[in-house]
Amino acid sequence: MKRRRFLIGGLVIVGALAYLIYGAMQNAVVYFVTPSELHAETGAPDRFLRVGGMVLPGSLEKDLGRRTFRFRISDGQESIAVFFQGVPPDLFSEGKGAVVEGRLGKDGIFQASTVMAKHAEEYSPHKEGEDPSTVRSFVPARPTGGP
Amino acid sequence: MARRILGTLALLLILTGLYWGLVEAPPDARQGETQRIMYLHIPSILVAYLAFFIVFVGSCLYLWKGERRDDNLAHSAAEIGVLFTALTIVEGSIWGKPTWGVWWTWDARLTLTAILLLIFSAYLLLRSLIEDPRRGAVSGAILGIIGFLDIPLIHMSVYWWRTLHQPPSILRPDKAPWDNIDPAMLWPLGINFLAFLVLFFYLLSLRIHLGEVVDRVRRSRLYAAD
Repeated sequence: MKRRRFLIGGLVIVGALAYLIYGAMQNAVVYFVTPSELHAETGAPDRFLRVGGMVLPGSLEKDLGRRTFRFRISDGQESIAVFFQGVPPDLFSEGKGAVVEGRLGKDGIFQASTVMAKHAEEYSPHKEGEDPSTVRSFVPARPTGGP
Repeated sequence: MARRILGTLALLLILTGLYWGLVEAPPDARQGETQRIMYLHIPSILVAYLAFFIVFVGSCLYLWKGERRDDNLAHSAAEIGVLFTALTIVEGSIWGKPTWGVWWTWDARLTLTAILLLIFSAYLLLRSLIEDPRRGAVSGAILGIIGFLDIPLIHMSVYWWRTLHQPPSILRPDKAPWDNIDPAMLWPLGINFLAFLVLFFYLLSLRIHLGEVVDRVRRSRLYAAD
């Protein structure tokens, strides 16, 4: 009898917790917004945001000396200009998925404090004739002899 | 004796898997050498899932029949599951920094995995805090069942929500593992998974034995007190 009470109580707790976790995740964890969703908001939202999409091919301008990167994040319909100063991850490149963190400036340019690259669930070795050293060549190697 | 064979086999498989994964396997075309962390990361989480599934089964059986054997199984598997979940998070973090650009981010999959680690750390804490073995076992069983329900959420999170983490490479009905992972990488991954699996059962049998020894000591103390 006592065991059955425990069992029923346990099941109720399980159900409630599962429902709560699911609900919280659905509502609160919108991990990133798309450029279209951002444009749909009225005015520039002055808050910390994550914007996700594809780095628009042909949009990337990099100044490796100053380590500044200007590019557009696109969701296929709309895109947003992004400015970033720092070192982006190895997999960051045009035509690939990226998530940027930061704030949207008054000028409509997204000032990113962090750039994150998405990667696919696919893994394969280099194709015949491909140079393995080009894979990680996006970030320039440090000049030897100095910091 | 059987346990010693299992342990030796685990060691041999781990050495084979590490050599194959870290030396023989080719570097990934996109991620380079960093991708080799996969050979540890995927087996770690799959073994953690298995461990918590055993916690779930053992907990259900205990609530149903009330046998100490099932509780010992669940408690033992939970301890090893926490170890492998923590390993998964550490490995994923080391992988995340060069590829994603961050050690950690609060996307749905990472957050739910952190919750999994928290729930089962709480489970171990609960088990060590409650002195009465029967009450500890019942509370543990309930928490163990709840904790296990996080795993389907972790798995589906990359489909249900926008995440930084990519969709699964192995556990998916629509694509075969060899469609996602080149055979030259899938073989060492398979060996490593087998190695982790054997290691898991070795650790589990050790831990179950430990639980039985503790029970025996506790019983003999009770008789001595009479």
